[in-house]
Amino acid sequence: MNIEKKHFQVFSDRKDLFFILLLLAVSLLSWYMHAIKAAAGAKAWQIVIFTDPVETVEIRKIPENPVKIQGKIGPASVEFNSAGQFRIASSTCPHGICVNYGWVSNGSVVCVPNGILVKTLENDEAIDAVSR
Amino acid sequence: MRFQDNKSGYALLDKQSMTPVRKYATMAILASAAAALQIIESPLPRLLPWLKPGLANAMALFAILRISISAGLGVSVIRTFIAGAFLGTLFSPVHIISLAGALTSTLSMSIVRRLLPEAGLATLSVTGALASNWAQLIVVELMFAGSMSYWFHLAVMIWVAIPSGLIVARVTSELLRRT
Repeated sequence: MNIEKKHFQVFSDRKDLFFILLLLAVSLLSWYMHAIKAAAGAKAWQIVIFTDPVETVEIRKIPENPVKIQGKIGPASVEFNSAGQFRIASSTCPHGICVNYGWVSNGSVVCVPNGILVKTLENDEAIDAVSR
Repeated sequence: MRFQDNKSGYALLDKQSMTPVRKYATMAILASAAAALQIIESPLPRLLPWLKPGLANAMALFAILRISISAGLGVSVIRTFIAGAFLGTLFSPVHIISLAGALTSTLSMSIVRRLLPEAGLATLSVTGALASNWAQLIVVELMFAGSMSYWFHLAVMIWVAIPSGLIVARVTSELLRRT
């Protein structure tokens, strides 16, 4: 019987180590691409108006004109720009803190007196919003 | 193919010594062991549904190296059916995901083995682990019409595939040394 001796090791030579390092580099690059995509701005937003019952408006495309809404105590408008940022442009509230908050890329802005919450939806939430 | 001297201590039987009876008996043992590993692994907590150690791949890799590529594929397919029957997931989406992962993993390891005969066990098993995870992700995507962040999953997959692939490589190395 012809028995051949052959060497099988976890790492046979430097090529195996190079392959692992290459994969780690690809992983870091992927993470960087993911971070860029995440930072590029949200794809969907949600406006919640805390009236009775609570109203929810979901926006999946950047609106050209400010979105007019009726808050708890009066009208308000939410403005979006081409970069995917949003702000509460006007609101019927005594101090205008929400208006002074300015543009937001990711996160939320609340107008407590007028009962308005504007927030970006994360990827998974956006999928839920579409499938709902 | 690279053959080394007796220093390694690793012996490969040539094709003539692998009679059909011996081949099928070895495949049956490997498929059973692989199924057992998959069953033991199934209740372990996972970061993401398609991310798991995949120790059963060690049996498929062993079959590829010791018997043939078709034997490796046979071991992979049979083990998913045995594990599916035991876990109660036979022909369910879970079984299809598992089957896709097992087949893709074995095929990718076989292709790397053919294209790069000098590749070590680490390259083979890490490729298999990555292919398995990726195939399972694609099947989940197709079955549930999801919309996943591929960059995110690729980044996470590589970090899971490397340690699991290295564990599989170590197990396979030990199996090859002892048999």
